[in-house]
Amino acid sequence: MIHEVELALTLIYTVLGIGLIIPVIAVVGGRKSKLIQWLAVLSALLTIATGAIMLDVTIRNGPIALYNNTVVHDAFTSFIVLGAGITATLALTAAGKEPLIWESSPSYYGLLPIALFGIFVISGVRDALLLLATWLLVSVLAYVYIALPVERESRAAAVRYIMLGAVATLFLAIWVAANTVLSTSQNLYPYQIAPLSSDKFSGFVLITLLAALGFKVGVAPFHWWIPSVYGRADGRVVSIVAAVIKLGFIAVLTRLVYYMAGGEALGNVYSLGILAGSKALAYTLAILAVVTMTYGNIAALTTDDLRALLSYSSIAQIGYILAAMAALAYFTPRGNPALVNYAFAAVAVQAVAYGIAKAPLFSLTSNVRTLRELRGLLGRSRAGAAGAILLFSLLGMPPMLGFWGKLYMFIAVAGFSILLVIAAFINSAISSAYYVRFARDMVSESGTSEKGVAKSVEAALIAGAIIIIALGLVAPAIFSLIY
Amino acid sequence: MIVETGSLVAPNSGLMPWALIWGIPYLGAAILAILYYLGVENKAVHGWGSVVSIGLGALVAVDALFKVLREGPIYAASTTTWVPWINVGVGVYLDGLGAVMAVIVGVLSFLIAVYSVEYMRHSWGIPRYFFFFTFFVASMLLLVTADNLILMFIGWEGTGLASYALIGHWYTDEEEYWVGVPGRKALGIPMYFTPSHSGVRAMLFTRIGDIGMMIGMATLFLLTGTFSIPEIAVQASHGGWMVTLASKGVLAAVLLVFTLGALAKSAQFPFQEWLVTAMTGPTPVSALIHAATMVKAGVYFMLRMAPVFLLGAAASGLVAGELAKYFVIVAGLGAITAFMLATMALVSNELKLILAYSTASQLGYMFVGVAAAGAILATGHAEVGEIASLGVAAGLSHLLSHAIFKAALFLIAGWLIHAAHSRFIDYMGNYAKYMKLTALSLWLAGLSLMAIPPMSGFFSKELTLKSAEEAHLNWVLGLGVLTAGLTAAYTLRMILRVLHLPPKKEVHEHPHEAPPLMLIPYFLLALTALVIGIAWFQFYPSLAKAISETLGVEAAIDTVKAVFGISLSAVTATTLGWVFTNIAVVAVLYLLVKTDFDRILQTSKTARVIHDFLFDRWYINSIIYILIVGGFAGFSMFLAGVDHVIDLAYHAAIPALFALGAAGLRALHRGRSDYYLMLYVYFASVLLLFLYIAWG
Repeated sequence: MIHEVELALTLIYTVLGIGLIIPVIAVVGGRKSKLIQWLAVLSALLTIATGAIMLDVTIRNGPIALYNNTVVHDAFTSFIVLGAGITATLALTAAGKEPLIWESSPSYYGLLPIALFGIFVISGVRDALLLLATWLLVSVLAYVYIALPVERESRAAAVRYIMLGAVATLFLAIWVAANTVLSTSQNLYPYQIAPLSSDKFSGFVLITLLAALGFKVGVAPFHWWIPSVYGRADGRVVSIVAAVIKLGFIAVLTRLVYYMAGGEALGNVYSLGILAGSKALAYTLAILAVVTMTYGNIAALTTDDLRALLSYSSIAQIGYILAAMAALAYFTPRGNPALVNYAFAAVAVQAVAYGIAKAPLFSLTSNVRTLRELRGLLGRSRAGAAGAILLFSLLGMPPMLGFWGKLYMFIAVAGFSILLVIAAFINSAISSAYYVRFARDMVSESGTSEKGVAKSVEAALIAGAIIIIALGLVAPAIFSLIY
Repeated sequence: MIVETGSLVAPNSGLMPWALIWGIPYLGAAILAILYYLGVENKAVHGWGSVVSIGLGALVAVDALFKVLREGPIYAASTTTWVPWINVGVGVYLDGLGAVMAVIVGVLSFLIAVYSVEYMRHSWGIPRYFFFFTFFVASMLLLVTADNLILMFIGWEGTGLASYALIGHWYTDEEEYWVGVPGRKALGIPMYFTPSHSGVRAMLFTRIGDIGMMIGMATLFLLTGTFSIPEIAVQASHGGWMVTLASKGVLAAVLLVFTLGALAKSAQFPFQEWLVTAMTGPTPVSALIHAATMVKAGVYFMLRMAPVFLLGAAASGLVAGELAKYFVIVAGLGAITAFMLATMALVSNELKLILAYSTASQLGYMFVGVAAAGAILATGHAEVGEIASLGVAAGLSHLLSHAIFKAALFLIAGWLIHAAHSRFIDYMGNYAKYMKLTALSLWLAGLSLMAIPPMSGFFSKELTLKSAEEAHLNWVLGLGVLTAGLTAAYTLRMILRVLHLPPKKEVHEHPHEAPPLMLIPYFLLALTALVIGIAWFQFYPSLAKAISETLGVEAAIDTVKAVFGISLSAVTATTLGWVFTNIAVVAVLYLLVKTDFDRILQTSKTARVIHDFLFDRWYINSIIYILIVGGFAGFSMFLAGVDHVIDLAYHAAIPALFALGAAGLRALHRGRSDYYLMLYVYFASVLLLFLYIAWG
């Protein structure tokens, strides 16, 4: 086991190393050097290998504790790291060679490995201070990404992202302080994530955290920036921010919810305070889930703008993930490990399925802005059908990966709240309207648009479809091994 | 009486050869796709490739049926489990119901595939057509033979996907492929639909139900820990999950959510709209998917699950009460659908649309057959075994007979539309003179739809009404009887206008008999509707045997056989009397009086209002668009407006505010000491006032 963990660490350090060496190569060999592109691809593939090794180790031997126990990886976080590697590979495939002609090409390729390393750390973090540090690292990378390529629109989007991100960071800093007060009051290690009670201070702790991490993943009402930023930035960089980097934040939010619900309470003896706190946490998350999924789905219904549609659907997908988190919070201290596992599986599968679908789809929007323009562009190639498969996965159709995400979500949530199930049901039905419309235009062979779609985007769509079907067939078996 | 003998919770066979029932068509579809990508676009290769793969699957299904009738149910499962965590493997469950369904699907699909080879010969998009056709058949066969809900759902969604693709097959949306009268509107909403629009509608309407089904599956799994249909049945027989739900008073609600998928798939009220406009697809698709097979998936679901639910009722009286409520609601929806759609068929002038209305209406009868039998629980007059036998017998019999005669009717319609170069019956007429065998086929299949003895449709419809009668559901029975007369009326009107009366509008075509590849399949099917009817009393023991082998029923064969006994009850006599009255009225109006309905519509406002109400489908489509689609779209636009305002705030309001503030502040700095002094004194006063108030 030790050797395998060391191998995984060596691989992820290599990823970090690649991120640091790319700017040097760009200086020496020129920013159009293909080597930096291939090194970035290599870093994504190494991240996949890291995730796979960690998954294997955690399935066989349980969690891996790193850095003096401040980062702990289990099967859930390993699957997320694996997913981040896959989505990064897809995003790079979709971008193809085009970023090489950007003036900022070293940033585009060099920051991705560093972001992947950041995801590796942040997804397993269990120390508040380390979370703040990693948050800053990954956030800054995301801000820079949004500003690439250097165009007026991208800069405007980046400024907005930074402006709101600064406020979110402020909230996270307040949360670190408040959590410290809470953890020390419970005789815990100061930066350990403290379980919540149902008192006002716990509520304050929760709100500050949700204001920070909710902003990052797009939880309503902290989501306002998403349509505007995703809508203005370049599709190829949005695919990295929305489909790759977001996975890390989803992972850490899930883990924090688990800890705050008493997931690490000593000896699994839960006080009445923890039980009440987890219930309050669950209902808060459930309400936010309903608001988030409803807002995203309704707003996406009538738009013809592809980026806006994908942005709103991203918000809606987070709503489903939050629903699973609500079930996770509720069942964690209530002695129901099976439902806790379903909730973890729901988040992991739903998040990775979301990332795999969104990475190529956002890239597609770099030169196709509306559904009208899309009509007839891909219908005669395999990419049209592939894109439709990705959308059907988001819709939750079997045997794609998204189906399992939805199924696990419904299993976990059905045990928690029938109202939440109904809300998710209605929302899934609403979302069918725009996903099916999108899929129809994707496979349509007739259209008047004279635009073209880059071969690299077509390749990413096809690869994404193959991966999402393959994972749909094997992922349930993997989760059987985990739980 | 329930006999515990047939419950299989452990496999009794290997996966092969039974998985080939759906495995071969899936393989066939994959090969067709690969051939296409390799550049093989020969129409015959794709057509006959599809026919062969479907035919081979059907042969395995027939073999399975004989084995089931000889030796009892087959439960075939792979040795490895696909998803051990949730106990899901790849398995085939072939009891009487599954085997009969597999044969119906396999054989009908084979005949319709043969018909398609000729029908689609001059069309375009052939590789795509046959790929989705074969993929559909494979998914349908997977659906009816799956041993667990996950596999069943995969097949279920596969049929939906193929249906979407085939409805929109002619996606270029030329007017000849539309459904509805171009330009017609109801309450301001267009009532004509293009193929691509219809495909999306079908997908959306059925998706709503599918998600309900997924939630039902998740809930059942949560309560039983399994997706295996046999295991769920066994747990139900011990009370288990059904008692849990019944004790919380939510059993009926949960089962209804679970059944949403079935209601949507079988186009039952309020989901019927998608089926009507699905007629934009090629006619063989309408015959196969939207008449003979996929729309039966919902009925199959009811046939599969109703006996399972009834096992729970046998275990607990609490369950029985809640369950009866559920069955009454489903039976009611079936009866409403049957009546509502039959009234629409009375005035329609599109051949396929008449058949589509008729399909949804007849599916309503099937739901009545299965669900009304379940509602007998509330009367306490029958044992659960008898109830289940009656429900499955009624539902399955009408499913079987309808699949045969309606497939024949659609295939005939395909040829007639081709002959008339129009989908409207106004351009058809006197065809009996030119195509004798087609006319004979239309009469045979039509008489079966009209439920005239000794056609198979008569016996099967009688069984569905018997369910409602036994359950004392008088309003359901009343609607059923009423609908039987309307069915006879619209069917006869259709036959007379197409075969024996002159066309209403001038035509320049010279009709002739269909080519053999098209004629033989529908002639055989129409003949089968007659043969099954004539041989009903010889035929039903085999059907009874199959039903007695059906999961969860396991009633003694004599009990099931007794169900099939058709006697001349008051209901039968009333129904027949009403049917013949309708036939007589239509015959008199069209053949003797030769009523000019167009003139009546022009002169009578009342007649026009009634006609428009029925012609525009009770305005249900318009209401859905105005309230639901319009409502959500309005809300969506509102939210988009909110975002726009926020965007404006970022780009215009905030910069403008700061610009204004900056300008304002700069304006204060005018270099005049009196201003500075005034501001100094003013703000010092404000601060002092604040401190005074805050420190109180």
